Amino acid sequence: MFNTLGLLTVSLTVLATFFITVIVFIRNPRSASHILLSLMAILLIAWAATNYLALSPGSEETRLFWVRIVMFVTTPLAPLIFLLASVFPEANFNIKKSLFLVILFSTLFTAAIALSPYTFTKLVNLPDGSFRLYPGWGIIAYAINLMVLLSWGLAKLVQKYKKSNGLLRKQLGIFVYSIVISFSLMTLTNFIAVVVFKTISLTMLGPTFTLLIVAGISYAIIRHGLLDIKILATELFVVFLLLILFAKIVIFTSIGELIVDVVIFVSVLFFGILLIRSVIREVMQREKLQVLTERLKAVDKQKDEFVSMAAHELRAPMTAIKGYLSMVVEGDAGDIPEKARGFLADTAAINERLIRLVNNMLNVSRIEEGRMVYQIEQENLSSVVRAAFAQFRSETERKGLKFELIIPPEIKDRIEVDMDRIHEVVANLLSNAIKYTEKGKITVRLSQPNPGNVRFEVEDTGPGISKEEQGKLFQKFVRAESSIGKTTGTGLGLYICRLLIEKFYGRIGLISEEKKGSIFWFEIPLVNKKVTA
Amino acid sequence: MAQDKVQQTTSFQPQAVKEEETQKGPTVLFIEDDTLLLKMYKTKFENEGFRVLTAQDGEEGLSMAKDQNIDLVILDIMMPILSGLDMLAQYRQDPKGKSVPVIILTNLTREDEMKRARELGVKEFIVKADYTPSEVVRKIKDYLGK
Repeated sequence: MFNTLGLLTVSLTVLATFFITVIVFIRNPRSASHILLSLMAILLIAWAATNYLALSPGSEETRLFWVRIVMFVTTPLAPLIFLLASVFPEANFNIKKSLFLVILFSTLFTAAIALSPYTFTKLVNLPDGSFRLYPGWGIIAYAINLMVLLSWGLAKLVQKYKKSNGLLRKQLGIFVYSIVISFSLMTLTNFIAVVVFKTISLTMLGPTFTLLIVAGISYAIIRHGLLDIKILATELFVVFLLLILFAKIVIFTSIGELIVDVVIFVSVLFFGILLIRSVIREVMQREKLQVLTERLKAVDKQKDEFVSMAAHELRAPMTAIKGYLSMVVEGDAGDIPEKARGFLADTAAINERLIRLVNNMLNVSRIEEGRMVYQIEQENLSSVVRAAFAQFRSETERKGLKFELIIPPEIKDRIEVDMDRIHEVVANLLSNAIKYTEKGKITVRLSQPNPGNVRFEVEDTGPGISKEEQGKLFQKFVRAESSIGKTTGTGLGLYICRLLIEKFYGRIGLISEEKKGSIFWFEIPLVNKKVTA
Repeated sequence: MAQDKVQQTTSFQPQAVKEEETQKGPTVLFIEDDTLLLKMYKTKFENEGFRVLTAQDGEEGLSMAKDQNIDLVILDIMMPILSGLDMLAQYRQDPKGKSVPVIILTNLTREDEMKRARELGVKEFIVKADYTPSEVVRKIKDYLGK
């Protein structure tokens, strides 16, 4: 029982370590990281083999000899891990010469002692087939060598890990985890089990745990382009499957069985490679897509920032134009002819349109991303509507449109909103109505559809909007083109109106029929519903 | 010679201030880096009977605000040398600037800037492009009347 299971474990460990090492080594035979890992793997193979021999039944002399060999080959493991931790993931062997010499000397010394009677003085066979060891002072040198270099190496790795990011961080993470996990397991079987539970039967598992280190570090070294858990899982699965099948080949009982096993092994190998490759391809595509998405996001952000900046820069000159025009019209520069006043009023109206356009461009991303700053206050909707109405009167006169404002005298219209934003909505809706109406009448109306809300409406005698287009009119970048025949504007106005009205807990919509004009409306809740009852 | 000059300026300045102080309107300090806008607001506010002082960056505005008796500061945010909010923070440290009302007149306000301005005692924000100069005057008269 011990022999079959032990032999199987040992051969699988040796084989797997060997496989992995060869793969790593041939990738880059000149890289210090690769060489150190390969050296480590050779020692681990030697450990697995000699450990098995020491545990196998035999005379006390033979067993003691193998135990000493085990100590000898395991001495350089910690130094190698330390060196690898210092070098990783570089290809250059950038270790200080003095430090390297000290490590080399102490390791050679400890290894030499391990072969001498000073580390283990005596071995006594026990009746149950195991044995008892009598340690000497050399074991202290061994322990110091192991503990100092291992913890130092780990400290270096953790330090590197903290400073690193991205892929290197992943690599170092795998490195640290594989060392910590396998050494914890080894402590369990080769120290706690031996010292506390007085059993050496589990020590043969020790070398198997080191497979974790070899596999982990190898993966970190060679797969640094594609550190992906999905690929790792697939590869582990395939390797595991292959190991089992290989073990089956080793313990064949008949030629027929051997042939079948070999055929199965080869086909699993073939399909395993195909599987791994397809997974790699899939992961690569996903990563490529991710990179593209990131870049797209960055470009989109840049665009938003540019639009914001450009809009802001446009605002300053527009403010100056608006200000000076208004001052001239208001008589700050003395009297001007009535005709000139009319022209200036037109200029002011056009400038207002420009300001609205720029405001929309500036505001859309700010509203969407919640960066918009609102100054919420209580105000009567009628005063905002009156101001906007007055602002557009001259424009309607110029177009020869009738322009009417209907506000019922006892209407309740106190709302809690950002007045400038509501003014923007009203102005957007009025501007649209005037823009698309060539003749007839525009009626602006306030009403009370129910005691809790106030309703604003602007009715025009324009071309109207088809049913299909009504549905998407309040979406971003949508303009009612086909039924209206005009394609001016950014397609942002109504979208922003909707965002703002919804922000103030209201609703917005339209009633329209082709060739019969449109009514755009919004409703906003009143401040105190009880008062209006 | 040098003494003469000092004498001249020291004797000249208080007189000038006194002269203007005899006017009835409140003194407004405009801090705004755009000269065209500054000229526009200055003209309008003077026509409306205000006494108007102007500065083109935060630093100039700060030293002016510390020197003179001011009823109201109208402040832009984005300015060279010393931004409006940094200027305001330093102004609030000055004994003269502890309780003087400040209005932000700008074209772009960010949430964090508004928050900081409120913490520094700003109660009114005006977006330039939304209002004509006479509307700004009306808003400020309302504000001072409160």
